[in-house]
Amino acid sequence: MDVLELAAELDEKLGDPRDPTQLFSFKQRVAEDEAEHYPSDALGLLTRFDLARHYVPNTLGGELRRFDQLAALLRVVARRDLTVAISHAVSFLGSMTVWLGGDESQKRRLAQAVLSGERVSLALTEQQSGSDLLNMSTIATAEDGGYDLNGQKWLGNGLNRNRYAVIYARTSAPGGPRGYSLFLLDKATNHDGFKPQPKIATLGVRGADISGIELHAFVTPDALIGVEGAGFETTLKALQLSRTLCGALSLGALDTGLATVLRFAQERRVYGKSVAELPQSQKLLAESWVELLIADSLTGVVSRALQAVPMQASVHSAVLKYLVPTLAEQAMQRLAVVYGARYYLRDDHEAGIFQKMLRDNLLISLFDGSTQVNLHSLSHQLRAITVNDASTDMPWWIERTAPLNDFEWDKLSLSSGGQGALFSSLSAGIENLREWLAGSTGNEYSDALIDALNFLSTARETLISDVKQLSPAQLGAGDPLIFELARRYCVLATAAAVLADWQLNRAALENTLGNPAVMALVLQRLTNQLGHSVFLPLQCYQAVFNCLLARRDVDGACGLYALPSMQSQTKND
Amino acid sequence: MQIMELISEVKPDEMMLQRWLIDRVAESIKVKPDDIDTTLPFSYYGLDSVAAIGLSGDLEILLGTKLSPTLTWDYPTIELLAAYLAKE
Repeated sequence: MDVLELAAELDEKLGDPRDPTQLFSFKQRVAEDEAEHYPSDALGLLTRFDLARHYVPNTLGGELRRFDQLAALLRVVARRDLTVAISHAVSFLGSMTVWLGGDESQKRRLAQAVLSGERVSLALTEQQSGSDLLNMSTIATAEDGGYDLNGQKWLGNGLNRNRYAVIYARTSAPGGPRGYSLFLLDKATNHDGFKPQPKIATLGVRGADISGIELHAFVTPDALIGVEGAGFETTLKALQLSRTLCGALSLGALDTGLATVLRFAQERRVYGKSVAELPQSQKLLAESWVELLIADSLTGVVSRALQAVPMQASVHSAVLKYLVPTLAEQAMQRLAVVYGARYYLRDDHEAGIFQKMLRDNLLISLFDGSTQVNLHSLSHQLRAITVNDASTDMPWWIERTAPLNDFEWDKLSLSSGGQGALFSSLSAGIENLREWLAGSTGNEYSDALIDALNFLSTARETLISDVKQLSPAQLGAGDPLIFELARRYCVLATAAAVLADWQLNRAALENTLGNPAVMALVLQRLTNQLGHSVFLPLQCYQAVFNCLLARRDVDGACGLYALPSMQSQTKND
Repeated sequence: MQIMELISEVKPDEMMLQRWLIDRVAESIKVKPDDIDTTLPFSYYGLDSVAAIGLSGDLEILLGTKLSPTLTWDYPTIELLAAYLAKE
């Protein structure tokens, strides 16, 4: 079954979001959020629908072969409720460390547990050290016949509710990158070894189990995941994968945010017109939609990249983890402007789902490595990945019908060895569109497109030159300039992804990237992120808005590819 | 540590590598190369483990060869790293 069919099947099982008797309806999701109620029933339903099978590699009895597949499924859940999405998918975050670093018997045992519905947490962060992985205090002391785990983990997802927890602990007194290890704790067989810490109240995902665990557990040697000292490296690799999946979470929130506000705009009448007929609203809706398309393009491309160029994941996952949540937050904020007063009401239009999605989505730029953490880690590779060796080829794997092999777990690397296929393809991407424009006549958005392409070309050269001039002192001191250069890299790599998507897939993207007005607004949004202002006439925004409506009316959903509509939303009221 | 004391003991390319690393570390914390102790770990000089991955990337460019990203974790001082690279 292909990716979109799988997603459609799951979405159908979740029922009509506007039917309040459905567990996955907006009404019930918001009610659970208001009550800060852990969504046990919803999680149970997802497990009965076999979602957990997609957290386990096919080689271990599950169905995980490719990340674009898992991303599509998580997006379907996220469109209903991010609390449920993160509370269920946390098992993937936890069990990944075993798929990456465990021995065969550990993998088989945990696979069985996850397939049977048990959930797995990752107990990583601590209150004093935050997310500084090399400064953790939880200790694992080697004893006769095992290890003594001692310490306290804080702000972990599912630490109270999940049966299993992967504990990140120091195994060598001086610490350092080889001084930490991962241990799989099974609370069912270690009743006295831990004490749950209270649920922490959060701005969004209010019903999620964000809590802590106090450890004083003795574990046998088979609890050690991999070898002593592998903890830091395994964790960094696991984060490359979870950060990529975060794109699906933000996209889900934005899908629903946009659908909700669009529906409102078409129904609500002010000054004798529907909100959706007002030029300013059309502009704002068009801009938010285009940001969704950009995020969608990048997420799709990076999810596919994991199979094709896994050794570049350290770069691409950081680009995605910075860009997608950032764009999603901006788009949601702009949609709130169109929504007006209703954005501020918790129980009015569509059961108040928009404000929940807005608050929940704020988590994505923060957890699993914040935007700042990702820019910082990217900055260390900036010199290597901006050497001026532009490729003339588009990455073949961006073509959506190109077959991809199954993901290879042993191919991840902490550095991409100077490779970054997206950024490398930027020159070619710019040239392709320029050539097409030169050959196409009567295109009213040519000027705007050429303006943006010229700017991207210059911005690329400027970045390469600015990075070359960086001194080791600036890198060492965490100079704000390095964050800015890393940010620019992210925007340019994203532009490359979108241009490649256009080049290789536009025949299937008629109402989105294949439409010149949409592409003009896409490039305007991207160059805007780099401080450039491309002028677009009113008719461009209106044309894009009409594409948005056409997209929604044809497929019921507004993304790049035909993700299923959420049931009754296809009906035009 | 004075560079002249090393000449009798190390191979020229190992010395060159040490020199490069000393200059690099000195530059990154804005001190004089003479103040760098090649037996102290990179972390002592503020090069954390993730930053050190970047160092291996720069070494790849310098030496024109692929290196493990975690090289600086297993050879965490200038002395150890230069000796390892010179042997390979």
